[in-house]
Amino acid sequence: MNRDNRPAPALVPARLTVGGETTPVGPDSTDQDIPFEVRPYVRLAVLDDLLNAARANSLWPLTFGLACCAIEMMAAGASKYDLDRFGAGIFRPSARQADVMIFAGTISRKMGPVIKQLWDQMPNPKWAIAMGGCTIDGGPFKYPNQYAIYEGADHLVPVDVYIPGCPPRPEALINGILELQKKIKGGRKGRS
Amino acid sequence: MTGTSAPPNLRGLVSESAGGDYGATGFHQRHTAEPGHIVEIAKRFRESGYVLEMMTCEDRREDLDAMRLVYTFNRAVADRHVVFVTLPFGGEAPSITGEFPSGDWFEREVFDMYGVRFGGHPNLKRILLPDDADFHALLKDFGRIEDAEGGGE
Amino acid sequence: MNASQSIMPELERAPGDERYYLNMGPQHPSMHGVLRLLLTMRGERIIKCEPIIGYAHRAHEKMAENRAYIQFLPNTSRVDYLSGMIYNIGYCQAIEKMCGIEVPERAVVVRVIVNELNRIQSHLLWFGTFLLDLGGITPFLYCFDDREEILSILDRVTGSRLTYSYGRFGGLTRDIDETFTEQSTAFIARLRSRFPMYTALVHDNIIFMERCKGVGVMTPEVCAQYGVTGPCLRASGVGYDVRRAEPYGGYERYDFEIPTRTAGDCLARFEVRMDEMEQSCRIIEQALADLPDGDVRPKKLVKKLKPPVGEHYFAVEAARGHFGMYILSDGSDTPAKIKLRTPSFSNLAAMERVLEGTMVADTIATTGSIDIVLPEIDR
Repeated sequence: MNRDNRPAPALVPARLTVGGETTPVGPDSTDQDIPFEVRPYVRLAVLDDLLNAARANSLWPLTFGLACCAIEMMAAGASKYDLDRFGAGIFRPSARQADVMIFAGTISRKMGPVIKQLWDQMPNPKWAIAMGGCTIDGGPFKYPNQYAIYEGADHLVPVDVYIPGCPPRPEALINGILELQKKIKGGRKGRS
Repeated sequence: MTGTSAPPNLRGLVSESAGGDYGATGFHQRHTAEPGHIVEIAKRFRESGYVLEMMTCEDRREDLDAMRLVYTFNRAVADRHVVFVTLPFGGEAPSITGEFPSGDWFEREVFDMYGVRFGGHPNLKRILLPDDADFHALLKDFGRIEDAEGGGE
Repeated sequence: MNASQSIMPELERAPGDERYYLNMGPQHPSMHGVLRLLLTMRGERIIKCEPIIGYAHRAHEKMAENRAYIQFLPNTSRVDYLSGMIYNIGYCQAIEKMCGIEVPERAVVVRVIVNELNRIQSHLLWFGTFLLDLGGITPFLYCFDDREEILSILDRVTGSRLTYSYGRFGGLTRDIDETFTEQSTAFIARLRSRFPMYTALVHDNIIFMERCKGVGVMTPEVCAQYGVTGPCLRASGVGYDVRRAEPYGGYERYDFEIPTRTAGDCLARFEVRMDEMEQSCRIIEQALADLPDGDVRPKKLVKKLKPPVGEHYFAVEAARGHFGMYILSDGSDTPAKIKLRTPSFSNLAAMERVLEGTMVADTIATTGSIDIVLPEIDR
């Protein structure tokens, strides 16, 4: 339940049902829990790990600053907090060339279809980082009967990492990117 | 904005004029006018070298049973005139876009937020809310916290 | 919607008509935020430019009506987060003027210092992103370096880097100390030593000159028609600055110039902002020398505001221009209405006129040079 007593929106299913078979999906599940039909066809063992390491260490974010958090994202990309040393400094304006969408700022209702379009344009594997309070649950703009915003990026896309703050310091964004790198190296290719 | 022009003569166009008590309220002069005169008032201000600084609307249905438009005119050497125009709810006001192109966006915002229509506006459509929104956001009976599901906080 | 239905019937055109529509934004490489420009073009010339806004609408004004004056404080910084301190303290100053709340002398001076530091920080960021829009990546890194200095100074005192809630009705939350004064003085010296480098790197660069000189000219008439204020207006020759026109918050004590240019093009706007940074340095130096002793916190803690009934207006000079707050009070501690008259709203409206007939590459330069912040436009 949310703070204002509305049930939390059901977005990402906690269970995956394929072919009549239901398995858990989440941090406690293992590869054996993935139904046979959706397990990767080809498993490359060590090469898989190498590919994941390559993906993690060369994340190309989409330039997607919406509001105040965008400035801290820019500061994280600038010289003092240098995102380039983590491989994540190349911001791509085109969604077709980006790996990760960093939601930096409040998501207004008018922006919703744009975000869906951009997310769909991004090729797999792709990830989403929700930066700042607004993208977690609406942040400082959350109040009952708020008409203008989506209270959280996970209303629109499946989010991989949440970074709290208003705005989060650039170090917090870097921490979030490192968490995402850990997640990627851990074997999850993200969801579409 | 020119500096030393004299304020316009608004006699006959405004129903009430008073010194604004700048130190307390920030207005040098206050005027009240009818909707039908606002275009001519804007023209006089423009010819005297004033600029439309701000335009907004108030939802005064509770105490005045009307909407109230607020226009602020100012110039480089500060002389802020505020003109209040009372409009019945659902009424239409003439657009001052012909005198001040800045009125275009201000009036669109008032339409978007309050539903007040402006006659003669070249492009009266929503500006801030999504185009398919079916509500006017700043009306007092819309989007109240008390009306939220769950009863609000 | 099937394939034969047009998405926007008003954009249909006859066969043989060479016009086409180019949609810039709301997601776009240039750093303005979520602005959408619907350009009607023929070749590279823009016939009509329609800015479409609202993608950052967060209901600030509705929130103002739903909460007490003090609860609206965090919103103020987020309206224009690059002048966050000026907006935050400006709101406090508006309420103080409305309710007749006195501010301690030291707080008045400290406010001037942090406001001007905020203005420098905003101009530095604009400078870097403007050059980034034009294709020069290096100045962005240098100016962010300078900007980080300011942010650490302000962070130390206020606790925030970007969105501040430093002001309170009647004062500030925390006092500054010796370290703040030393750091500010050192920063001003450092910034002044960087100006020649910025001039050599950017201003005298031939590509920059070609892209900015004579581009995006805003005449004083266009500025008056659209209510343009701030550096855009001053670059067109009109020396209007709220700090001079309606002095507030102690600015009348300090000796500073209002830089103006007459060309009204992108280069003029650039030069005005660079000069304004120097003038802000001057103000900070004078204020630091002028700092009285005492406390910065409000003399009396106001538990429940009792503002007088009626309409009030207060304006400050933000980094982007004239920021005005129109407050309608019904006597309670919740405003009946707050209208935020933000400078970028009017500055962007002028783009419909200024961008007609220009080329699309000049659109980037011009829109960048007017320095808009979308959440301030959309509120």
